[in-house]
This record gives sequence, structure tokens and C-alpha cells, in this order.
Amino acid sequence: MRRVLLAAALLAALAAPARAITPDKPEFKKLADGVYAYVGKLNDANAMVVVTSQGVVVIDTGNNQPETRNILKHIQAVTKEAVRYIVITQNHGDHIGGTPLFSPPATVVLHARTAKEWASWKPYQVSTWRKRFPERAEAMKNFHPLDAALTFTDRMTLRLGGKTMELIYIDDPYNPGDIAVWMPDEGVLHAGFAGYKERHPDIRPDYSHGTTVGMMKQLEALVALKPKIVVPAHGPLMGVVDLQAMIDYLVIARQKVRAMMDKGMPLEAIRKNFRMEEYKGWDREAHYPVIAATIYRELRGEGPDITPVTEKTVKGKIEKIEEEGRFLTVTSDDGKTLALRISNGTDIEGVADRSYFKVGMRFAAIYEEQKERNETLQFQVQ
Amino acid sequence: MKKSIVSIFFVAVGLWFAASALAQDLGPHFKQVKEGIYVYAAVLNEANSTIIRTSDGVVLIDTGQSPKDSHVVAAAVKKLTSDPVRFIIHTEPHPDHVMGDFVFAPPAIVVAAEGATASMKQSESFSPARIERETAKSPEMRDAFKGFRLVPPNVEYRNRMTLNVGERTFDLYYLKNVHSEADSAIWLPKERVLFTAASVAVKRFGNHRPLVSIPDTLDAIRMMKALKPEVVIPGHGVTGSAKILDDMENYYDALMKGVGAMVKQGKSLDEIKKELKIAGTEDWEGKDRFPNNIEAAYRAVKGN
Repeated sequence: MRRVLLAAALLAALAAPARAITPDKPEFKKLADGVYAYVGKLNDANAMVVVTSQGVVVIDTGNNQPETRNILKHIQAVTKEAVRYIVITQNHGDHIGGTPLFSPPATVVLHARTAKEWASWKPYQVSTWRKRFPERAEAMKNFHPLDAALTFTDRMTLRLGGKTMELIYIDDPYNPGDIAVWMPDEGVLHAGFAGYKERHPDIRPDYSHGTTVGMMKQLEALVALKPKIVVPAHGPLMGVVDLQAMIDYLVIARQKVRAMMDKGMPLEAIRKNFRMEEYKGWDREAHYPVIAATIYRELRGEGPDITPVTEKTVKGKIEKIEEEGRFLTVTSDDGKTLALRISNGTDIEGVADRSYFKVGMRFAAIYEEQKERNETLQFQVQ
Repeated sequence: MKKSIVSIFFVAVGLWFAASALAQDLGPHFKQVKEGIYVYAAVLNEANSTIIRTSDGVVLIDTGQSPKDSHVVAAAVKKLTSDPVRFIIHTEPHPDHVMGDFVFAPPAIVVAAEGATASMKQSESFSPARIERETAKSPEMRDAFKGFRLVPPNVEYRNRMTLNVGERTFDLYYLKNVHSEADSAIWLPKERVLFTAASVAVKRFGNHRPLVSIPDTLDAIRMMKALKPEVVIPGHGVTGSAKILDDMENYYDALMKGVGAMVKQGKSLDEIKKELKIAGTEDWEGKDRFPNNIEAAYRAVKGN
């Protein structure tokens, strides 16, 4: 039996397949002199690359290992300079997971709140980090992800080889450490989490992506910069008009939830009835109930909904694979059917990464089962 | 049995020589204050420059009073290690702390508090005319300035920053209104070593520009005291313990109380300057700066 060790969150229902907005192949687009966007395929996470005479800055690190290696290939095709800085705009696997391909020696720049989270990682999470790129095994020996980190709390400016990057953090009690990167000379903005183009936002009741109020604060600050080109965290390149559109979207979404609450509708009914018909054709309609539940909590003045999780183990067989291994339907040896979400933080042994899963493959997994609900997709490995 | 005793003996001697070589060979103006941390100033009360070794390269805190000193520091780094200088952290953007950055950067990355670049670009100290005057001081200085460029910091932070390099952590705290437009305290929590910038001085009156606020400086000193440092390295002056912070806190407290009492008595600023004495400062250097210290306290008392 090929042994596959998984740590995953259990979902009752699998997410509907994403409506593609970006092409099915990643693109490396020049935005300005020395500034490139790596636009992930099918709305995978985007990255940005800034080439300077003093080294390269990579902003976010690609959706998964093959994507990160692809980013590096593109960098090497345009410069001989080494990658010197990695900037993390949000603390999710599809943005941070490629970091070990570059750091060490590259310095990782991240917000203090993200760094605090990294500092709390358990030994096996650190071990996963070290193992992510087998070709980096030697460099990663005894290396903690924060060993080459530069963290900041409020704002930071990075000037390198004639390029200026302003790292913008908009303070909010629930901002988990999301930042934007602004290049004033080029008018290019990596909007971080707040950047969405024709996509329903991934805002969650556990506030792992902050709140709608916090997101609007970020968007307003970013609109004021008047960027010429905006790189969102996911999806096609966009402009300031899309940032403004998301502010409008959030205002309307909040009004809708408020109206339902005023009518005395219970949360379950609000989750079920929440629709944004005005934005028909936007990607990820599956986010509706989660958006509604998040706004509901915010409007009631409630803090994040942290769902307790229980660590469990399972042995069994893979029955179905979706989204390149992001979602697995498996049958355990005792006959239960489970839906497992495999994140970039999942420690996988036996295959290089989740894209190598095959139907019929036997596996053993340690996973987390969320009690009560499953709408919170935040991946918390225990 | 005999063999193992001999081995131990040689190991011990070897280690002793190694340690001894490090302490002596850097030169008379270097002082090792902790393992791998060496403070340099050629002349007492000139700006300190500190070499900090890490497993991932060298970090410098300031680069010395002048480029001449920066070259001395560069030579010392070479004696200590073949590792490159990876980072320079400014305690302040004034020329006596940063003029020699060009000796190391690039490739070293310069880190400073927000406002450092603006301060440097506005300062007359880095103007061609001023550089010419500096280089004219001596042939050695002319040599030291060869290749001079103003190096604006690569990284500027607002409020707080943490930099991890190798096994060491550098916590940077922006110090508001203590001396320049962009002062940083730098704290090494594992080593319990604190760089105070020019927020404190050792038995010496500081030069208080109009932007300096004594209440803000007292806040900064109390914040730094709360870190409970073992080793305190001021921007200028001899390295010591937390007593440096205590002494400065006591001085500013006494200054504020003294000026406050005289203002209450209806005395003018000029009268206060003539009459005020602060016990314990009789042997301090820079007495000509005491009046501007009084002016800073007077501003604070008056709420200006």
C-alpha cells in the first residue's frame, strides 16, 4: 500500500466546480519595466514579480509546488538576479506555500499577525514546510519558516534597485495580516485579499479573511491610490473600477442581510435565501451562504465563529478526486464515506503533492473533523 | 588514558587561543559585549557602530562616525568572518551614523524607521559641498570617502518591525521625537541587548532639536526599561547596563520638575536657564547643550 498521510478538514459537501475566469494555462504578463504578474490558471492564486538590479522580489508564491517552480522558470527567463525577497500578502497555503523554494536565502516579508501564526506552527507543520520542495532538502535542514523573516506592524517601504514597493496594512481587529503592495512609480497594485474581479468574495464567519467592514476599509484605501493596474489575489488583472465594484458589492450584500434580519429571519433562512443577482455570472456563487453567515455575525456584533475541531485518523481508498486533488471523496476501511479537503498545508507522504492522487489509491490520513458545521473552510491543522 | 588527557589539553588550548584572537585582533576600539557582538567607536562619545555576527551573515547597527570608521568596521568584519554584511540597521539617519553605509551597501540592505530617507535627502550634511569639506580634512578622509554615495534605506518601517537573521532576532521600535526624524531602538530579545539610539546619553547632555519632546523621550526610556535589557548600547558613549536608562530617566524627571517649579514661580526661560541646576550632572559633558535641554523641558511644561 502506498502510504499517504493526510491532515485535512472534513466537509459534508464538496464545493461546486469553479467557473473559470482566467485561462487554463498560467500567464506571465509584463505590467511595467521589471514588473510582472503571474496570473494563475483557472483563478488559482496569482503572484507578482519585481525584477531589480539588486535582486528579485516575489509577491505571493504560487498555488502549489508545480506553479511555484513555473514562477521561478519565468523569473529565470527574464533575469539572472536572485530572488531576494518574498512578500506574503495573505496567510493561506496557495499564497505562502511556495516560499521554501526561495527562502532561505531570500528574506520573507510578512505582517506581524501572519508571523505570529507561523510562530505557533506545530513541529509537523514546520516539517511539511521543509519537505515541500525535495530539491531544497539540504537548505531547509533545521530551518524554521521565520528564520529569515522580516515582519512589520503598520506599514513598510521596500526600495530595491530603483524600485519602490509600499506594503500597506489597513488595521482592523480582524485583519489576519493581509496586506497590499503598491508601486507608486509604476501605478501597479497587488491588492492582496481585497482584490476581486467578478468573483464573490471568500469571506468567512471565522473571520480568517477578516470582515466585510475590514475589507471595505482596505478597498477604500486602495481605491484612493488610483492604481493603473491591479493584481488581485486570484483571477484576471483588473483596475481601480473593480476595487470600487467590490465596495458596492459589499454594501449591497450587507443591506440584503440586514433586511432579512429586520424581518426576523433566522440565520439558516438567511443563508439559504441570500443571493446577489445583480452580480450574475460572477465566479463562486457557492460562497453565498458563507458570505451571508459572515455578515450576519458582523451585524450582530459577534466575534469570529471558531468551530472546534477533533483530530481523527482514517485508512481507506480514494474514490473521487476533484480540482487537482483539492477535494477527495474517500471510503474508509470500515465503510464510511468521507469528503476531505486537501490544502497546501496538508502533509502528504508517498506522493509529491496532491495533484498526484489517483482514484483507487490506498491511504492513511490524520484529519480534522469540524463539529456542528462545515461552512468554515479555513484549514487548521492540529 | 594518557592519550585522551593530551587531546583534551590541546582542545582547551585551541579554544583559548581562538577566543583570545577574536578579542584582541579587531583593534583597540572594539569591545565584545556579548558572544558575536562587537561595539566600535574610535573616540569616546563618537557614534557607535556595532558588528553582530549571525549564522546567516553580519548585521551592522550604524556604520560609524565617518567613512573612515566604516572602513575600520569593514576590516574588522573581514577578520571575524568571510560572511557578507547582509543588513545595516540605522538607529538614526544623521551623518555620524550612516555616512559610511556606501562601504557596505549594496549588497547590504539598509533598514530604518519611516522618514529616514526624507531626513537624509533634506539634510545639508550629505550635500556635495559638505562632503568636499569633509574630504578636505585629511588625505585619509579623502581616501575613505572614495566611492561615496548617499544610500537611502531599502526598507523603512512604521512603528514596529522584526527582522530575523540566522539565529538572531532584531525587534525595531520607532522612537518618536527623541532625537531625529527617524529614531529606532533595536532590541535583541534572546541576548537581552538593547540599542537605545540617541534617546539616552552617558554622562552627557544630548542635543535637543526643536522636534525633541522630553515627555516622549521619557515614554521611550520607560518602554525600553520594561524590556529589562542586560546590555545597553547608546547611540554615543560607553556601553553599559540598564543603569544608563535609569540615570537618564532620573535626569529628565528632575529637569521637568525643576523647570515646572520655576515656571510656577513665574520665572522666564532666561531666568530658568541661569538658575536651574540638576544634581548629579556636575561631571557631565556637553554643558553647552544644557540650555537647549531646558528649552525642551520648557516647551513641554508650557504645552508647546
